[in-house]
Amino acid sequence: MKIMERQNYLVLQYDSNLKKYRLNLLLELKEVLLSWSSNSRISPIYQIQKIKGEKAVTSLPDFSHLLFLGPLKPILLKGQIDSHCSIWLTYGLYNLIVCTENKNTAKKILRWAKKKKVRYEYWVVQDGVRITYEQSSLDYSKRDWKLSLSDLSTKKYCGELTETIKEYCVLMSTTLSRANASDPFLTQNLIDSHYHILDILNKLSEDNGLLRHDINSLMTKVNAGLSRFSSQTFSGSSPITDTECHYWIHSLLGTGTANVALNKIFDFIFQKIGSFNIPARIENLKGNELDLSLGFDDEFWYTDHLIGVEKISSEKDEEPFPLFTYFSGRDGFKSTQTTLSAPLTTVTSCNSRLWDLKTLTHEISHLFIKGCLSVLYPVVTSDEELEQTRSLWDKEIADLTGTEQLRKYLVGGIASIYMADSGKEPKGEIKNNESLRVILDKYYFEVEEIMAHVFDFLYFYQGKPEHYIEGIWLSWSVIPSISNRVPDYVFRSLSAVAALYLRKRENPETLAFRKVLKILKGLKAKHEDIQYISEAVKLLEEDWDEQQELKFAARTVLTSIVRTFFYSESLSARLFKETKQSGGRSRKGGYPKKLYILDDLLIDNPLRFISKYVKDVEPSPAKSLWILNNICFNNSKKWI
Amino acid sequence: MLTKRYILKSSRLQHAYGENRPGFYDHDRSNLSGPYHQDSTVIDQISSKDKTENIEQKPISFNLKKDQKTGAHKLEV
Repeated sequence: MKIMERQNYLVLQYDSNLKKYRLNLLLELKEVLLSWSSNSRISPIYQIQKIKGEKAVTSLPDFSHLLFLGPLKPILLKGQIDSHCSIWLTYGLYNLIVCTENKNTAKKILRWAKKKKVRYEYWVVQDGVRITYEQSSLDYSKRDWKLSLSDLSTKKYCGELTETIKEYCVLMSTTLSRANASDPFLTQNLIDSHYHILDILNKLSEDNGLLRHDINSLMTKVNAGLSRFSSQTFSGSSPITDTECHYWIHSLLGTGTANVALNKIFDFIFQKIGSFNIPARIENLKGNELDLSLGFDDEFWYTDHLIGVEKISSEKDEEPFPLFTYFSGRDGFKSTQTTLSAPLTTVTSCNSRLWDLKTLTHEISHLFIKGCLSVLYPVVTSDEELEQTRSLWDKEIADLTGTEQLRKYLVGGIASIYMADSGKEPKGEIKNNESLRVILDKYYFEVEEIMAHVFDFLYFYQGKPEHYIEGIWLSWSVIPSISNRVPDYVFRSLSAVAALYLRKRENPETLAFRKVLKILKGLKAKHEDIQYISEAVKLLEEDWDEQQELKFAARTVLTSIVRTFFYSESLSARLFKETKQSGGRSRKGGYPKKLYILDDLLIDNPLRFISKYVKDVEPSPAKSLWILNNICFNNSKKWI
Repeated sequence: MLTKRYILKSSRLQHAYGENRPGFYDHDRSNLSGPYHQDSTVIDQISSKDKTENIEQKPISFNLKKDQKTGAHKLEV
């Protein structure tokens, strides 16, 4: 079964004269738009070639039996269809459409779908008009979450939060009702997220320094992410005619396949390293095991400190929050404590390096770093915390916990960056809260950003600078008007790659500089049209001076903290295991898969799969759909 | 990806520093905080007579030292 590259459009319109729905298969969008009306809906679909030489279908037969099926691994349909059936692959959770003129064939597929509990809608269409329709029965029997949401809606919170939570209750009820009828994997994740949210709301009654605005902000983001997730994933669910998607080119069937794939990429990382709870181990670092005064040539800086540390006791049984994942034209690649988004463009362009879904790892890295900095970075609005930070310099090393030593090192590093950026020697003294406040406020974002880059580079790119630098610069290349950020992006690139060279006898700044420049020059030759890369090369070749070098050296303090305390080689190894690749024990070979072919071969590791198959620069919707299908349906986790 | 404890702790941090990346619920901060985008505030100009200054207390001292042999830098705090 092979995806044919040609894109077709399935168009639904309501005929108010006949009081019936019309369904059309069209080849060009311009044809569709000429007959557009206020209730028109559309989705791109791709014919599946069942056997070599099968011709493309250009219109629906005068009398046709149409079956919308899914979510269903396409290959499972193979034994149920005959040579007269036409099949299309869609982006929706009804991911397959079968068309036949033979009623008996349609009934046979229907019996099989019922037996296998595959969700379906069965339409009979004559001269483009739907004359009959039936759908699979939906199971709304599970009630636990309904009781919980009903109970939550009656609780009183401060001010605007009450209404935000009411919105959440209705939104989550809709989402769970639709998920319940289509997908057990997504349903369980949603229920887990809901119970986490209940716990967070319960914390409101405790004295933990949080304002209601913080919770309102958190819940508003939950609602925004969940709303998009729900609309994109479950539009086109039964009854298809009643559930419109607001991603307009997919308004008929939604993008459920892409949304499940996105969720599975996140879930893979979540399962592999999420529950390790790095921040809870940073919070429990013991002082007597640390000595940050040692030189970088000492083994101390390359010891796996993380793996040997227990989580703080209150976190022993805690599970992390499973994020709400969605696509967004506005948010692009972005993470918050509860949501993760990818650009809308990735749905049809994720075969391109410019729109590589692996960029999600950078967003996920931000979350890990946010967690670690919540332990280490002093809160600038708290005088008490600033005093406590200053008092670290009054104590002997032996009296400091590991976490306190690390905070002291971080704050000293930030102060050095401040001095280097001011064109001064990176040394000095801070004598009062106000000075400390200014420095901490100025650098929070850059500290988080640089650390996220180092984390991403080490964990998700195995410290391979060529892959990493190419990945981040190509992903930046599609963002308009960011020339003014190029110098900062150069510093981020250098700071990440410096993690490789901390222990070298020659200084890490020089080695990282040479490496990054070499890679960028290679990229410049390969991608002449990418202006930002040329600007970066010019900066490093022509405008780099001692002051820039010092600014970079100061930032390697952040690199060393991530490399030594947030990184664990054995934890990172969990992200690279893949048993389904060919090439013997080394697993260096590719997957035994052919592009566009829909097969039954499983993959364990979506990150490796992406690295292997995302090689193009030019976007291709058909290739992107093939990639998303593999991640969605061929994941080795159980799927129908 | 974070447990409740660190969602709440990082929310507190976010409340103090805002959010730097454009989006729906963001504070008005731009993502330009790198070394090429200096603001005008310098700590030298902040009064050393800040009420929190305490002669009994040691100052925060830091020194990013360069190793003369290798050229590598190492922070002392």
